[in-house]
Amino acid sequence: MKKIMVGLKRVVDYNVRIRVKPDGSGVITDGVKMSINPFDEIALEEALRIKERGEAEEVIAVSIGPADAQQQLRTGLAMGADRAILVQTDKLVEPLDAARTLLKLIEKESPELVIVGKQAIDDDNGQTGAMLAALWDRPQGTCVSEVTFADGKATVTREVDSGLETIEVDLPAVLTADLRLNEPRYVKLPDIMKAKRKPLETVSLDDLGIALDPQLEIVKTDPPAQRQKGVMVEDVDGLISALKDKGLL
Amino acid sequence: MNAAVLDTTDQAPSESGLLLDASPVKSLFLGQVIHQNLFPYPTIKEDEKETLEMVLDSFDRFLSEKQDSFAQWDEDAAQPEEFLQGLRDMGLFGLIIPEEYGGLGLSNAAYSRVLSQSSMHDSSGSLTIGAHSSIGMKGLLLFGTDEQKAMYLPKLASGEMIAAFCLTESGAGSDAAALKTKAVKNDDGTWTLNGEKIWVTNGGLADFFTVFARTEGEGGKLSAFIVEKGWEGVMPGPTEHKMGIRASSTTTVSFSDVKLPATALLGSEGKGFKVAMEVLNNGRTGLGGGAVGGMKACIALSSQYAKERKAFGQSLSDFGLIKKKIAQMTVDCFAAESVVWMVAHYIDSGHSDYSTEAAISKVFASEAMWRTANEAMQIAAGNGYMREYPYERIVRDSRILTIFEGTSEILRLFIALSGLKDVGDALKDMKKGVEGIFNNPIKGFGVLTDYTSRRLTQMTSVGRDRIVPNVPESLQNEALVYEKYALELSRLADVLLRRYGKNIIGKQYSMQRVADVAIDLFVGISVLSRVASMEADDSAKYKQALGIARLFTQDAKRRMNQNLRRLLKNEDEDMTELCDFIVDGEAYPWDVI
Ligand SMILES: Cc1cc2nc3c(=O)[nH]c(=O)nc-3n(C[C@H](O)[C@H](O)[C@H](O)COP(=O)(O)OP(=O)(O)OC[C@H]3O[C@@H](n4cnc5c(N)ncnc54)[C@H](O)[C@@H]3O)c2cc1C
Repeated sequence: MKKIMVGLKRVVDYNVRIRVKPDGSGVITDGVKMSINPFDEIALEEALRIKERGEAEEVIAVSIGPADAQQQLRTGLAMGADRAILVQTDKLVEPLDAARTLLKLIEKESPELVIVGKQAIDDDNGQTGAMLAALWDRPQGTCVSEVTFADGKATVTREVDSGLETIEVDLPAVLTADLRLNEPRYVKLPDIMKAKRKPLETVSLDDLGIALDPQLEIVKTDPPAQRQKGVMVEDVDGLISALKDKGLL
Repeated sequence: MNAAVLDTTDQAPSESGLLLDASPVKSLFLGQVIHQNLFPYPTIKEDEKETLEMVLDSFDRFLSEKQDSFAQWDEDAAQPEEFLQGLRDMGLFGLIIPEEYGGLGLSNAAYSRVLSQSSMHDSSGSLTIGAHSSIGMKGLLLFGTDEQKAMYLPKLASGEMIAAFCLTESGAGSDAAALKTKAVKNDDGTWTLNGEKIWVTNGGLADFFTVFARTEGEGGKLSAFIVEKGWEGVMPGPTEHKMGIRASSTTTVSFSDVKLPATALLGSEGKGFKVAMEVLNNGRTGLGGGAVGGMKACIALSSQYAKERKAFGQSLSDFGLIKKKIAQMTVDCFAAESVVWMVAHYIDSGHSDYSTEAAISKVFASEAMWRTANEAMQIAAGNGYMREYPYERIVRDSRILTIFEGTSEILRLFIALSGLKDVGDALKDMKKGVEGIFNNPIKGFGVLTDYTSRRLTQMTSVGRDRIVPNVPESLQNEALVYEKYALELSRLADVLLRRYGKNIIGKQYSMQRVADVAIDLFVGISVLSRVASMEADDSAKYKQALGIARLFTQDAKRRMNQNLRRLLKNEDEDMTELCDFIVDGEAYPWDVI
């Protein structure tokens, strides 16, 4: 392979306790720690490992988001990506629009492989990868937990309810990364400095000829209901009678 | 600094806007507020901020995963080799080494912030990195020749070599200049080194030692040397059993007939004491940053604990006495962070006279950390005392901070003397000026006007308005407190010097009071400056920051008032007599039976 393209979305860090804006228009991101979506980080790690095995020549990290998403791309570059492209927009980008935008980048870069996370932990849509494969009219391997390459094909293992499923897809293809695909590396500090000198290109949606076409309207964002305080029961008998009291037994 | 330089009006500000040779604290002793060096509060450059955030994030992840091991390593009194290798792989030994030598080239401020992040997880790990960067190889960075740097910095950056600082000896702790280790120059220009250093942090890990030795006879000058572990006759001793920071390596290092090449001399011959002091001054923000991180960790632990733990049917956080502790911990942390960051900024701007300010940041941050650890322990109480919880380790670990790199006592004396010296110089200049009027009227007159105009300024309050205009309306009262006490300090410094002259050196009670006032002034003004630079919005964070400024200032005002009043009226004689009586008998002589 010559090129692998990886999508990195900027999301609220998974350690942050999410707080909803008082007017319910979304979650608070001001002054909140932002990170690469963890599944996207796994996607990048996999791309880097493929490259380090000598099976690819270049890894391109791409993101669609605000100017600040440069920071996530820089982190991607520090991890080892060769260059990065930011499609800059302050608007909310839905999965279909994200897939249309990524397709434009694919047309420009012609990668043999695109890897994205199976979902982003902010809106949990889990659609972008699949939509992209459909628009690109190429095969897809979703929720990948293992992947190998031979003869222009990827052999993909997926964790499904009944066990492990193995499929073969022709390249070029889209893969979406699952949790157990790998454990991403730590960024080494000298690589952070090197990343500053790697190319990071910024383009606008206009440059790509994309007009956002939202399909969804967010009516309201609510925090999850507060969980009721539990009770401790002494023993099994206590548990049984507590369940009976609640009419559950 | 010569007091005559203190007229700041005709000095051109530097790129950073600072007056690079004007010490703001020493100036306070003359009743002058060098507002250019205090306002606005320094900010980090945007591109360094991005780099720093990535560094913090990466280091944070690395340490988070080791969270469960730190208690074990504390018991084992050692860091396993994998951990050290992890630190090397991450590039953590190169934080402040310039990029051209393979390091990260972080500024002093960014470095201090990194140590604060690591200290939230583990003090021993922070110290391994901190002792390497802040003191172990700082001498090379500040005073090394290009050849010395090229030879060692790349290995120090990668952690192939770990560095240690060897000043203390059994007979030379605070009085470092009393050290006995000797380096004798041979005919061929090489040196022969003999002696023993104690309590060397990283002693058991280091391959690179910065060693201070006497290069002239008894009482003669000191010089600094680079010594490699591989050189024959260099022998690190066994690991010491310590109260805290137990996983950090502390050992003796002895030197027996070690042959040093001529190129091992660091800085000029005979300038070793200066090298040692510059290294320690420059390294204070690392320790200060570490203390701030420790406090942040305590605040997080205590606020969670106080919320969850119930007593008398309420959360601990519902009780006033617990609220007060958590509020105070927060004020202390904010104040320490404000002053440490301010000093780091002086260093990064190339300021040449920041040693008094650095000493203040070290005293304040280390003592604030100790108070905070103690209160965190008190909130967790019985649980806090148990080893399954982190509190007792934090208490043990933080106790060292007021002892090493200059004890609180020594640094207080240093702060007071540095400030008083300038006042003394000004007085001397005035006297000389008066004598000189007859020999050299023009020069003499100049000196005289300088000092008298400054005194006049104080008495008539002209030029007092140096803090008030720099803070928002809501902090005017606080600003007035610092303006007032800066003048009070200068007035009393003048009185003290006229009364005691040179003998002030023996008046330690007075010097401590003077130092404490200087500490409150500089820390307080740093807090004020920081809050004044925040965006004034209606956020809770801003509102609470104003609260911190008020709380700190009110406490500082009480302390300053008390300290200054007691300069002239006190029970110091009773104190001295009592101590002498007890020390003479070496025991407590009373009983109730
Ligand atoms: C864990 C640990 C790590 C260390 N790491 C290093 C290291 O890496 N490199 C290194 O060189 N050193 C190191 N030290 C040594 C440390 O810097 C010294 O312990 C410190 O300078 C104090 O010296 P001392 O212990 O001999 O105390 P002393 O000098 O004996 O002082 C004892 C007490 O008297 C007070 N005192 C002393 N002189 C005066 C005075 N004139 N007026 C009023 N009070 C006074 C002191 O403040 C102190 O309270 C380390 C020490 C420890 C414990």
